[in-house]
Parts: sequence; structure tokens; C-alpha cells
Amino acid sequence: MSAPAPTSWRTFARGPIALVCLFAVSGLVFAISEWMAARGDSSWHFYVFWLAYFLVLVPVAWRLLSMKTPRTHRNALVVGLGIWSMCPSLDRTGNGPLYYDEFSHFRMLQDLVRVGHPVSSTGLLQIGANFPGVELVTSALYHLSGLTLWLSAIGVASLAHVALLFGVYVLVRDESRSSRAGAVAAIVYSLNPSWLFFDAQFSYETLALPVLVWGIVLGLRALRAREGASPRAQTCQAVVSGILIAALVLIHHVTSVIACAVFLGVAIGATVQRRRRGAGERAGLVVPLRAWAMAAWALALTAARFIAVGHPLVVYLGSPLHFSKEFSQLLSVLGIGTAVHTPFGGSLAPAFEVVASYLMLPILAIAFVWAVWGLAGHRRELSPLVYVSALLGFLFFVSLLLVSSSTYAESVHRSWAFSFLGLAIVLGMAAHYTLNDDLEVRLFSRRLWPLPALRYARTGTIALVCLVIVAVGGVSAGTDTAYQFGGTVVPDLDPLYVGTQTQLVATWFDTHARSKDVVWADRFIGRPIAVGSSVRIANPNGLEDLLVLSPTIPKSTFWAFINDKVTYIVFDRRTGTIPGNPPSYWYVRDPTLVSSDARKTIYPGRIACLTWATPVYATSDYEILSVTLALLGHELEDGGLAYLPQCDVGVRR
Amino acid sequence: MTRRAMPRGLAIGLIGLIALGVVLLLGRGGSAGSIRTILGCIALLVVPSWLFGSLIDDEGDVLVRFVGGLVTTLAACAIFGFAAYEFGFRVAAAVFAVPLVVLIIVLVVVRSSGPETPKSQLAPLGMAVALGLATLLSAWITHEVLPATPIEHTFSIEAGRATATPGSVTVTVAISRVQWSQPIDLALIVGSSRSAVTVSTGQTTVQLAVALPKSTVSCPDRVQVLAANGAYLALRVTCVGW
Repeated sequence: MSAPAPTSWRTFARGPIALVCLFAVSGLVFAISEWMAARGDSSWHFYVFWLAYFLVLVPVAWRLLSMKTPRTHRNALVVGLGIWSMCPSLDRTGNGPLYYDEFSHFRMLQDLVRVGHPVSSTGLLQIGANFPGVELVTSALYHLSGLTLWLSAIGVASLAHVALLFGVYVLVRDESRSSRAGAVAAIVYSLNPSWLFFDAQFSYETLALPVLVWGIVLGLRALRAREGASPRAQTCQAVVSGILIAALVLIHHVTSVIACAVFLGVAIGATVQRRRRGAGERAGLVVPLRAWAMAAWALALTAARFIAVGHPLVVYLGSPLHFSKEFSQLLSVLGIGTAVHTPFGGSLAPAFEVVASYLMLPILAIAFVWAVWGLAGHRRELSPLVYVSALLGFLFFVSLLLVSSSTYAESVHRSWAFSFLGLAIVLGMAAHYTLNDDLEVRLFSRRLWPLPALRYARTGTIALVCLVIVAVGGVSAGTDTAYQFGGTVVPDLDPLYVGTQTQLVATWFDTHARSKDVVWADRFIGRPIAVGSSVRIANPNGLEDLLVLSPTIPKSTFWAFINDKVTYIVFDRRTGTIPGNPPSYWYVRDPTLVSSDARKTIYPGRIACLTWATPVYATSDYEILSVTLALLGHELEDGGLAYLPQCDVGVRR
Repeated sequence: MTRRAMPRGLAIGLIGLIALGVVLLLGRGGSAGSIRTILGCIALLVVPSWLFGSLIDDEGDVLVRFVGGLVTTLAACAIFGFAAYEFGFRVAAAVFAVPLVVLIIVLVVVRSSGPETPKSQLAPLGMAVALGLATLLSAWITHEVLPATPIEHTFSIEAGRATATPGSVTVTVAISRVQWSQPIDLALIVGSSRSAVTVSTGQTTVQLAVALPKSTVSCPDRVQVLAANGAYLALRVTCVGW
């Protein structure tokens, strides 16, 4: 007698072996999509990428939400999902730093290992040495494990990435006492536009986010009055949460502020709840006194760190706060002024991704309103964290008003890591009540949810379609396609500028230059040089840039070379000559920061005519010039031009 | 009769301490380096995480213990490193190893002084690791078979000093190519004199020479090598026989 085949197949398909096979195939297909993109002969890699993505996400989401899945399996699936989600960024970056922030942090790590303390004078990320947590942790792994620096870096980033997703899951699981609700929150958070690439890179936010989330998880465990909870365990949780908050202020500035805001919000919410509810209803409530103590700890540490760092932090965080500019950009969003930054302007993303990005917004808005409205009916049972989360989630929609401003676009993208945390918690809690048939949305006397016409199957289909749209739209909205896929080298596009030539130039510096040397280079080539050698990069946005930007070169420009002790110039001969691009110098990220004339004109020819800089190495497109500062000093003192006048030729738009 | 948690915690702590001690004795590279990597990861990532985890989770959830403990261990390392830096120590292996020894001992003592914690099942951890490894290994192997790094077709030029005699100037230019299959046109320019050479594929050095006009009375102080695509070098000159 033979066993019935369909049963055995079903058993196999449900088993862990089938899942392991799916994950393996997905990893393989991700790598194939990256290979196809590198060949650059079609756009099929987008479709292959999404095939790999949904090959895992859809069955895993189904299993996570299935009632039959045991809690321990759900835990394993969330951790597996976290590891799997590192695959696209690891495929893209390969054997060294690639993304803009990765170069800065990796150079800080190299300096930390080389000199034994955090260094801020490299010229890449001035504030980095004041928040060296991720580099310190990575150097611990490097020193104790003997791994290479890069493997240590991606090891720490990967562990942090996985811990973040699992932390979101545990946070909502604790709040709702339902692992299915936790799974919903984890899936929602994994749709965060920054999740697959930006938050998976080696940078301080990547470590700060899980430290924040686990600080909240353990903090709330310690703060709750739970029946049967051991005071000893709660003390340990409070101490560990305190350690995490203490570490957070050494890792990342903005995340420390978010931690303060969350604990402060929880403390205020707990106090209000305590006053409204009777003294008898204490089980599960956050104890206000403990919450205030935790908030005070977070505030004191953050304030102390910020005061200790002082001026550099004000300069770093304060630079986007030009309120007049902010106002004009807000007007531009409302159609009254001129938008400086067009969403998807020049993007190579296929049309379906762009459409999904726009569709994602109403879907998220409807889901958020539905969740908040539904949760309002349970407001007496909710933890203060849910209120704080609703506020954080709301900020996602507020941030969209500034997404098209050139000054704020980057900050808006970075903020989504936090606002999606709010969305994930709110949607996870709403899902918890929905899955228990206990969520009701009413408009006056009319019941809007649950809809009688919607059966489980249909609700599931709608949820699946929404998941697909938000996933595709999120990646497209949060990441430039160049962060997602490699391809032909493009000199003025981050990170596609990294290629064989940048490697040749970096290797030349590694062979010929010393750690005392200072290089003036554009914002692109400067980074591979910084991690490929021990030289420093000249002050970003310094006066040196006027050498190629200003119609008449002020003397202060030449003195800047002397003051900054620049010993090498690296210049890309393609600067200002890329067809279709405005001929500006590539260091200037925000064209509004330079004069209007400088935005229209570039003077690359001057580089060849500097009487005090000798070209010593050239690749097809890059030029390395050795600077003789003494000669420049003599020329300036003698009243000379410091360059040959016949080269004073600009390229006009 | 249930087993007390203390022996397990003590055993794990001892493993961590031994691993840490061995790590400090082993060098990088070779089979010793591989052992060091494994022991280093155990000493830094596994043991303290496990000990921390058993303090913060009272439900016996292996993944909460391990992941929560791991984040705490990483946070503790950030604090150790920063404290060492603030006290003027060089951030190196000892800065992390010494506090880790103290930390492991403290965690073992705290863990053993409390009530026993529920024993956790390792299966979810194994399943999560299997899923992650399946993804990463398959992606890595595919990446090795189908490399996704585009190679730029490029060349570079570099030269030492030029040598100028009263009749001519000569210079040796080193050329390196990366998938650059076209010939490279180089010109040596000295004042108004110029000579051009086409460097064929496979040549890694080329000697350029230009005859100086008879009217030249002084040694040129600088000469230029110019490629057809605009790449250029300006060379200092060694004067011979002037």
C-alpha cells in the first residue's frame, strides 16, 4: 500500500526543508538579478529582483500569519527574514564599502584601528568621531575575531539589521501578547523604503536602530506592572535597557533624541492613564514612576552627550535648519514656488515601480487611518507606546511634504526608519484586534469595519496586493536604482562612479602618499581615495572649490590650499562636460549653495594651468596633481596670478 | 527534580573565558587564524549574549535571549571602547577583552544567584540560521560564478623625470591597461617641439623623445606628456650636458 502522494507533498511543502529551498533559490535569483544589471543590456533585472523578493516574502508572510504556525516557528521565520533581507545589499556592495555613508564610516573604522582612537580630521564625516559607537563595536569584532575589517563591518551591520526586525516583532508581541500581531508589525517594518539598502549599510544608524528598539522592548518589560513577573527579572531588564540607552548616545545623535521622545511620551501617557483608570486596574499598565525614571535617564545622557560634543553637533544638525529656505521649499511643494528636487526626476526605475510608489502612499494612509480609528475603540487598554507610535507614524505623512526639497529630501528618507516603526506598531496592534474579530471602525452610527461583504479570502487577497504595491513602491521611493543595482560606471552618480578607475587612483595614493598628505577632490573620487589610503580629504565645501567655480578666483581660494595644507589635487577631466548635465563641480551637492553664475559655469581648464601643481599620474579620466605649497606661497606673496591667464576659460550651459 | 541553572551558566561562562584567553594568544591568518575567528566570535558574540539573554528573558525564548543579548553585548562593547578612549587608552584587543572577562564573571554570578530560568529550545535558532545561511550561501556562490562587478576599460600613464640634453629630451612612460585594447597615442611636448608615438597593445613602457631646436639655449624646466584623450603629465627635467 502506497502513501497518498498529495499528503506527503503537502507535508514536505509545509516543512522547513521547503522553506530552506525557497530561501536558497531566492538568494540565487537575487545574485542573478545583480549580474544581469551589471551586464547592462536590458531592464529585466528589475523583474528578476522582484521575483526573488516575493519568492520568499509571500510564503513567509502567509506562514507568519497562519494560525497553525507555532510561536517558535514564527520567531525563527522573522529572524530568517531579517538575514534574507541583507542579501540584496550584500550582493550590491561586494568586497568593500560602496555607499556614500559607508565610505565615511569605514574610513573612521580604519583610523580607529590604525591610531587607536576615533579621528575626526579625515574630512568625510566631521561629526562621526563624536558618535563612534558602530566603529568601536566593529573594532572589537576585528580585534577579537581576527576577521578582516570589511568582514567585521558587514558582520556588525548584518547582526544589527536582523536584530532590528526581530526587535520590532518582539515589541509588538509584548504589547499585544500575540506573535501574529508581532509578525504583522515585522512585515510592515520590512516594507520601510530604507530597509533593504540604506538601513542595511555599514553606518551608525544601522546599529543605533536595533539598540533603540531593544532599549524600548526591555524598558517596557521593566516598566510594566505584570502579574507573576519576577522583580529580579524586571530589575535586570531595566538595567539592560539603561545600558542600551547609554550606548545609544555614543552611537547616533538623532536616534538618541528619538529614544528620549519615546520614553518621555510613554511616561506622560502612563501618568495620564494612571489618573484616568482606577487604582485597581494596574495589571499590564506602565508604572509612571519607573517610566519617568527611564525618561530622565535617557534625557540626562543625551543632554550630557550633546553638551559634550557641542559646536560640531550644532553645525551638523543645524545646517538644514534655514527657516526661510524651509518656508520657500514648503511653498514650492504646494505649487507656489519652484520645486528644487523632482521625485523620480532622472530615475531609471521602471514605470511599474514609480506607479507603485505613488500608490503606496494612499494605501499606507488608508491603513494608518483605519488602524488609528479602530484602536481608538480600545484606547483604555492600549499602552502609552501605541499613542507615541501613532504620532511617529503620522510623521511619515508629514515628512512627505518635504520630500521634494533638495535640503530635506535626505533627512526625510532617513526619518522613515523611525516613522515606519510607528506605522508598524500601530498596524501590528490593529491587526491583533482584527485577527480576534475585535476591531470596529464606526462613523457616527454607521459601521465601516468589519465589512460584512469581505470574507477572509478576499481580505487576504486585498492585503496581498497592498503588500506587493507597498514593497515595490517602498524600495523605489527609498532607494536610487544605483543603490539597488550596479552597472556601467557613471562619473557623477553615487554609487555608480565607483569602478576600475577609482580603484586605480586609490591604489596610486596607497602606494605613493603618506598619512600627512591632504587631497582636494570632488565628493565622489575623494571617498575611494580615503578608504584606499591613509591620506586626508580637504575640507568639504571649502573655498578651494571656487578654483573651478568662480569667474574670477579670489586670493582666499589659493590661501585655502595653503591653510588646509593640500598636497594633492585629484580632478576628473569629465567635470562639467557630461552631456545633459548642468556643468557644475561635483562636490557641490546643493546647487543653491553656490552663486547663480557658478551654477551655470565651470572652469575645469584652470586645473591644467596651475603653476604650483604638477600632474604626476593620469588615468583615462582622472588627473592627480602634486602640489608644491611653497611655490604657491611665493607666487601669492609676489602678487602673481598663481595660474596661467590663458586658461581662464569657462564652460557655459 | 529540575536541574539548577547555575552549572549551565558557569559552564558557558568558562567556555567564554577560555575562548577569550586563547584568542589573545593566536595570530591572524592560517589555521590558527581560523580557530581565532571561531573562538573570537564565541567569546564576543555568543557567550555574553547568551548570559545577558538569560537575564532579560524569563520565558525561555531562545531567539529573544540570543538576539536581545547580542544587541546588549554590542552596546556594552561600544561603552567599553568609548570609556577606554576617554581614559586615554589605545582602542585595541585588551580594551575589549579585559572588560569582557569582568562582564562574563559578573553575568555568571548574577545568573547563578537568581532562580533557575526556563531551559530554551534551540530548534528555532537552528531553523533561523539554516534559512539565513541558505540565502547567503546561495547568493554568494552565484555571485562568485557570475561576478556582478563591471570592469571599466581604462588605462593609466605615469613617468619619472625627463632627461634633457642640448639636442633632445627623452622620457620613459609607464602604461598600464585594464581591458583597454585600443592603441594609445602619446605626445611629448617641449615648448614648441612635439613628437608623437602610438603605443600598441601589450606595451607597458614607451620611450618618447623629441629633438630640441638648435636655437635652444637653456635646459627646459618642464615637459609635458599628452595622451589623445586629454590625459597628461607634466614632468620635471634632469639636465645633462648643459
